[in-house]
Amino acid sequence: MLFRLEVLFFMSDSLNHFLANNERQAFRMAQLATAHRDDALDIVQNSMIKLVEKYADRDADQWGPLFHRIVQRQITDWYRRKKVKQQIFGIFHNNQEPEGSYFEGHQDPVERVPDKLLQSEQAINVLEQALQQLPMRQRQAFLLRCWQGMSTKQTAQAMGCSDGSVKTHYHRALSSLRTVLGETWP
Amino acid sequence: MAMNSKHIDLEKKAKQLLDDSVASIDAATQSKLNQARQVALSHGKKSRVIYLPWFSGLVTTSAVVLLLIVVMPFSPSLPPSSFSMNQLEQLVMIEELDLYNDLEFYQWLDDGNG
Repeated sequence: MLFRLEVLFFMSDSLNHFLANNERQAFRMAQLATAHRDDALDIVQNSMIKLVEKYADRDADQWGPLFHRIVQRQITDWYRRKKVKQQIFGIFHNNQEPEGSYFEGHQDPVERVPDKLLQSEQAINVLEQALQQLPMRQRQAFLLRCWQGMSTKQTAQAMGCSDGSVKTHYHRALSSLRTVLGETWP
Repeated sequence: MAMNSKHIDLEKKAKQLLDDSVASIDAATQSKLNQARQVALSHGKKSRVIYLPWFSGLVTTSAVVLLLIVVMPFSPSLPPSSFSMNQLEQLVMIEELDLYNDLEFYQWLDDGNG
């Protein structure tokens, strides 16, 4: 019994550590997908709950791919709900704009030099807008492959599609971003 | 080749910017994320308690005891008369038959076959 409790405590501690290391990236991914802070927070919280409830007993090295898969599913579900809402209330939502850039109204916690911060803000704003213009699957492939450093296979598992689809989505995302950012990025 | 090089540059820059954006998440959002994590971990504790071995043992034992309580009172209350005479006779007959078989066996042994 004591042994069992020690294992649970250790597992809980490991999970806490894992989630603490991954929650911010997951939040940014969700925010890029939804452009809404609160929706992004909901997606991250639901994903963490699902991971803890269903996969806490798995080996720690499996948590990463599983967590990303859950996050991507939550994002996909969010899009489905949004689509249904738009179909039902489409007429009333025509004037609604998505929330502004993440950096609007936020202070930089690292307190970088204003010029550098401004450059960084502008660059991320441009990237953010470019990413938001991408189709959902292309954005997922780009963020998982490029940002998370996942292999094609891992990305395919996280997205629930074939390796070939990941390659196609990723290549198209790169080409689109290159076209959109080409004018502003060196 | 040049296209690949451009793609690699784009990947590097995008990754760096996204990492910066994570480092720049404000305190309020970080606090919300921390709360969300604690909520998630508490869900794990709740669901896990159910699967503790002693808990499942307790549930099984309780179910067995409950079953016995429900079933047992009916068994002693059965009247002795419910055991019919016919059944008793059948039992005796079977026993007698066994006895006769055994007797034949013992006789066969006595006849020098043992």
